[in-house]
Amino acid sequence: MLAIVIDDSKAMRLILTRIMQGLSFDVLEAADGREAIERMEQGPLPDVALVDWNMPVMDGLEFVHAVRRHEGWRSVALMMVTTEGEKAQLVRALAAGANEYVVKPFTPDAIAEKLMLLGVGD
Amino acid sequence: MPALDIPSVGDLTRITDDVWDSFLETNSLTHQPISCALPVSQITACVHLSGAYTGSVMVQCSEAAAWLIASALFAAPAESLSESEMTDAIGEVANMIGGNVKSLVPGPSTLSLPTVAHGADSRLSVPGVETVREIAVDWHGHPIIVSLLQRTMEG
Repeated sequence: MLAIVIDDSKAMRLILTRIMQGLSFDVLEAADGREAIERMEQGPLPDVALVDWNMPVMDGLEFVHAVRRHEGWRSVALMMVTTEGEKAQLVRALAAGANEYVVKPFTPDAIAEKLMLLGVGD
Repeated sequence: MPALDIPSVGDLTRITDDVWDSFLETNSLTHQPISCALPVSQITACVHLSGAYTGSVMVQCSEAAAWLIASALFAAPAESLSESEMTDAIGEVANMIGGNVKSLVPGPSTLSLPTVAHGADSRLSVPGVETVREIAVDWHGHPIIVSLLQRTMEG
């Protein structure tokens, strides 16, 4: 299975990549939503995107909107992985089309559990 | 004058502990009285909050501590990392602490991207704010200060 990790922090991308590789995912990385869109347009399409919220160029919420507007990308599961922990933000993300939500800091088990809820991976 | 309904020292402590336990090293922080002598900070990572709450969250430490943090986050020897990776790491620590603080202050507020100032003569000043909460921790002999700043009435 293929995941894309989208975060402007290289350290955070590395942490999430290691977690996802440990869960037997192949992993693509992008530093912002725009870069992620471009990578997805090039293919292959990921099964799941782990999306930070606060990023330059295109933030996570804009990315979620963009993906959900794309007819051919409905199968991509979107999981916010963000410091935005308030309920109102969670509601915004889910209303935009995100499927799951993890607040930083997180544990690898929390990521794995959310992926199971999404029906993605093991 | 501090406003009501802001995170307590206990909240700041818990948030900092959670970040360290999750990504750096479990149960490794020793909390110090803020009056302890602290070195001149050489690295300051800062995120700004604006909206219903206006202020900043700062993480200050020595350059050695910042490299140690980067080494832990990247799971790589510090000498293999670049300066931009070091500032990325300390910036992300400030981002995570700041984001969790944001959940506890009056909202809605937005969180900025991190800013990192470094260098022996560097000082990061945020005009028009005052420190309303501050904790000092020791991590492997390295003091680290985490501060919550709030816009003053005059700011």
